[in-house]
Amino acid sequence: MDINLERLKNAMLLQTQKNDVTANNLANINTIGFKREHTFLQSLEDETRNTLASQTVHDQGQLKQTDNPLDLAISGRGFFTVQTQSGQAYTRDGHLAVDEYGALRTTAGHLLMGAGGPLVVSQDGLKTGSVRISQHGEIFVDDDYVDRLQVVDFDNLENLQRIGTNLYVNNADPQPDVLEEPVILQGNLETSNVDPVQEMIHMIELQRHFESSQRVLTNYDRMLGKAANDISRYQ
Amino acid sequence: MLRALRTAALGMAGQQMNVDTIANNLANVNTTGFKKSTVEFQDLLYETVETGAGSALEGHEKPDMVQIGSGNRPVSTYRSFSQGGIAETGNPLDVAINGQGFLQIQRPDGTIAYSRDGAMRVNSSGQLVNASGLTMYPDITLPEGVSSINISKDGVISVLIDGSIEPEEVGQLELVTFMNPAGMEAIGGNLYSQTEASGTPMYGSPGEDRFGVVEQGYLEKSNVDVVKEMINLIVSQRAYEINSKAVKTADELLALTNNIKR
Repeated sequence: MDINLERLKNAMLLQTQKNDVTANNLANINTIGFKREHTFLQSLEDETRNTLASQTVHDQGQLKQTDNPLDLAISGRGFFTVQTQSGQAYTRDGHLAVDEYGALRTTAGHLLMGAGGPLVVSQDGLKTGSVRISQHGEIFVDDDYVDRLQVVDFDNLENLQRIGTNLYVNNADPQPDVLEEPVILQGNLETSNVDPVQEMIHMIELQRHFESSQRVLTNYDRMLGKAANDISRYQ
Repeated sequence: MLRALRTAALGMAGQQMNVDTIANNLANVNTTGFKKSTVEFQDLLYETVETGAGSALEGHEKPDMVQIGSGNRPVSTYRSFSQGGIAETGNPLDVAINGQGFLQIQRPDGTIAYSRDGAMRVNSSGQLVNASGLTMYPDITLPEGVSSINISKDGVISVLIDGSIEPEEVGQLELVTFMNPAGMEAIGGNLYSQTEASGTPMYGSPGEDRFGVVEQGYLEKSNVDVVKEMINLIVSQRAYEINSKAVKTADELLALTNNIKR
């Protein structure tokens, strides 16, 4: 009896965690460069219970065209490199702005890195409209070559950990590979790859699963009640 | 479960702000020199949940981790300073800036604000003012008895006074650009003010270097694209709706939990 209750409790807890992940996917349906998290259950070897595992799905999101020359999207594999206070981080969000010193920054204020360090696109009095970025990430300011974007890729994307603000950090030893010929689209942004239909189906599924576990648990409770109260009743 | 409720509520709040911004863009579709905004979102912090000790299977390199996020938040409203359409008005004191640059306008407290709205007027003392009566900077005063006004593409204002044949130069419009115009703060009345993010103003004359030219007799329309805004509106309404479904699901899970023990 004991074990069965424990397993039901576990099943219900896992469904609520799945729901948390689904809610986060849906909340970020309009977040640029967001990648959905996919959850699945895995059995332990002794098959006593399941645990929840999740994986970030790094599928390409749709590209949306903007009017802004400082909006970049990566088509295919790769991540932009940014400098944070605690080292390098990686992002697919290429919505950039020029700061007061003429350096390119992401919306969260992190410096965008080029092959030779932070990308500075200012010459005295330069406007941002004259920045051109080639398909392979070479940056031209007024047709003068400045630097190239540091676009990196990882052999194993599972080592990437989300830290919020559209960033990932690399947790494992292998250093990222610098992509020689990334495909960069200037004037585009990558939308999130969350599919609302799929997420709705997940929600229905987990809700029904939760519901049936709850029914079984209620019935167990009744049985236990009968065992405790009715069996001992002589008459 | 309460986390899912909060996460979805943040999702709804974010979409609400998106709709607010779109509504403001649409409301200003006919505002001279208006520049549209878009809301940018980012995901929030993640909690890494350990799902039971020893969850690594035989032959697995590392335990799979579950990262549960806590929603999204609007991180900035990005203002697009792309050129708006230029429409003819025939008014000699209307100027449109074709290209980059802002006009300078002196606020009542003496500080300078910046604007793309070049609908100028003359006040009772002959000064050039903007549509809400604030004086242009540098100060330009028209003499009495002006019969016609000419503003050249490089911003030089010359007037023809009744009875004379030689035009008289009375001043020149000066333009300002910023390293990061999107960092400026909109203060209403078609005006922007300088912030730390925008950088310091860079001055120049129209047509010089990369500054735009001024076109007399024209005004710059807003750069709001109605079709695009409508599509954004549909997208954010649906995103709002689907987040409300996540709230509902979390609520139903909680209701079921409450019913475990009757």
